[in-house]
Amino acid sequence: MVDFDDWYEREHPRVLAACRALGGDVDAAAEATSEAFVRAAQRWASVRTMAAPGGWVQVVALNQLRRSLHRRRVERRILPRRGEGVEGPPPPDVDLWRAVAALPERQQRCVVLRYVHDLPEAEIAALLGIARGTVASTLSAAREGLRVRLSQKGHDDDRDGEHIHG
Amino acid sequence: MVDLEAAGERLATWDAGVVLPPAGDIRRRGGRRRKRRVAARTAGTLAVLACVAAGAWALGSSRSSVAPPTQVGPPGNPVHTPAVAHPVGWTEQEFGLLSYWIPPSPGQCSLGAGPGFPGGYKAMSFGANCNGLGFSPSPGTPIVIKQAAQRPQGRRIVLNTLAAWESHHGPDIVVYDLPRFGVRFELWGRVGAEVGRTIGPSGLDAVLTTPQPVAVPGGWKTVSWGGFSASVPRSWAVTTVHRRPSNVTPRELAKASAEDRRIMEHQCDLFPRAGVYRGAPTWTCQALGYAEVAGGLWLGKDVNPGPRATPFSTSSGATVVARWSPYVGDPSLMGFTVHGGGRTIEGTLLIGPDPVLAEEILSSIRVTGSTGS
Repeated sequence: MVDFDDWYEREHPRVLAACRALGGDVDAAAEATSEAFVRAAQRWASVRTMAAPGGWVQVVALNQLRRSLHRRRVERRILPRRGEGVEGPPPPDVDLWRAVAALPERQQRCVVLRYVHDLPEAEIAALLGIARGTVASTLSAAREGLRVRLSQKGHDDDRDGEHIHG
Repeated sequence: MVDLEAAGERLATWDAGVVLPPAGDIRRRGGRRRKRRVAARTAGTLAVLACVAAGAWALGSSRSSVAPPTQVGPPGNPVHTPAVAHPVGWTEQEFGLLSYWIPPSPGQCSLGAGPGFPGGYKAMSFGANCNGLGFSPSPGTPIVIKQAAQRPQGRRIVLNTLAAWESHHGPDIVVYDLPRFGVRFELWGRVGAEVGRTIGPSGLDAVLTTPQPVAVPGGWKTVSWGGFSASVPRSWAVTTVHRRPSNVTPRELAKASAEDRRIMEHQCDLFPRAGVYRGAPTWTCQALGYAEVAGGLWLGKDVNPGPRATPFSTSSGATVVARWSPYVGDPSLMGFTVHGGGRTIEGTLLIGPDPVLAEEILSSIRVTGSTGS
């Protein structure tokens, strides 16, 4: 039987790290993660029986993060007194995760669930409500998108370097 | 070239530098929300049953009548609440002198104050997705109540008889400033916009702005302090704080052991019963925690009216300056200052479970001229 406290302590850092990597802002990521775990606690009787409760809470946190970031963008535009969020230390492989954050939303989620939560394609499909084949093709598209974006970035960096040194 | 496996593993074990909230806090917040969800579901069911009953009654009394999409007035405050149109099944919320209606589904939570709210003023948010004290309102929260802008800008409008400024109107958010009440409503999304249309004066505001003879039932009594009097229920104990700095009754003291009695004689840090408390707290009676009272009146605290105080005259000549609770996010606590006869005292009204009672008490305050009790 899974105990909520143990599960929370095990999963929280991973969920938070993924939110930080995709959202950037410490406050927004922490808030979204906390909110997701509160919902998990609220529904713990059913969440504990899921095949991948960690994946479920990650999806909830990413949904929350998306709404939070949208709201913050609107607030910054119309309510200038609101302070900017705290950036915090960058995650490892920051360029890679920035590139992931620039991918379409479904691709982002598939990448996080597959590579951060280490979930098999069947469980990702169940969590996102899509076919298993769609997960495979989405991951493939994500890898291709990342390859293009990162090689483009490397190219830009080289050009910047030439410019600086030239 | 992109090693996602390794990057994913590094991220999964990365310390993001954020202190983990204790699991107990998370569980408690989840538990509270579950209770609210059950309560909201019950309220929703009752509302549906009420609508069905009302519909059946309407059908029986007039076959041609059609149930309207909105209703006016009660439930809420059957005596004083002004008529404000609101969707059927919604419930009224009172925030001091203001009232608004919310749908049955969202929970009510998140009383917060923090750096996002200038001046340390209170902010309340209502919605299914709320965070605890000290957090900024979370996404999906349709209503956030904050301090009003000092100089409201935008379009001047009238919200159910109240003068307001529409400071912003966008696709996601509408912002109303109500400077008379010192309050700003930020209303998010469709639900927020619908709630905004129901903002109006509360029953308390109606009593204070419309002088009327105060009916004091036979079960009431009049208490006086500092040149003013007020009508309160006869059952309420009257304590003059600096004379008897204890909230323990003589009967309770007599029953207590000698050891307990020594403690109880100065047990005034909590006033756990509805009553009238007169006079200022002293060093032996610091009056901490009096907000625990489930309804009561405190006369004679330090005079310190808030900057957004708004005066109202009672029918008896006293001028009441009602202001928000100094306690963040507690709409049940109304601070007020009473002026009249050249004197000023400050009081606190703990609205408790019966707002009508609180309204009657506040509107009954009058100048007596005598400073004795």
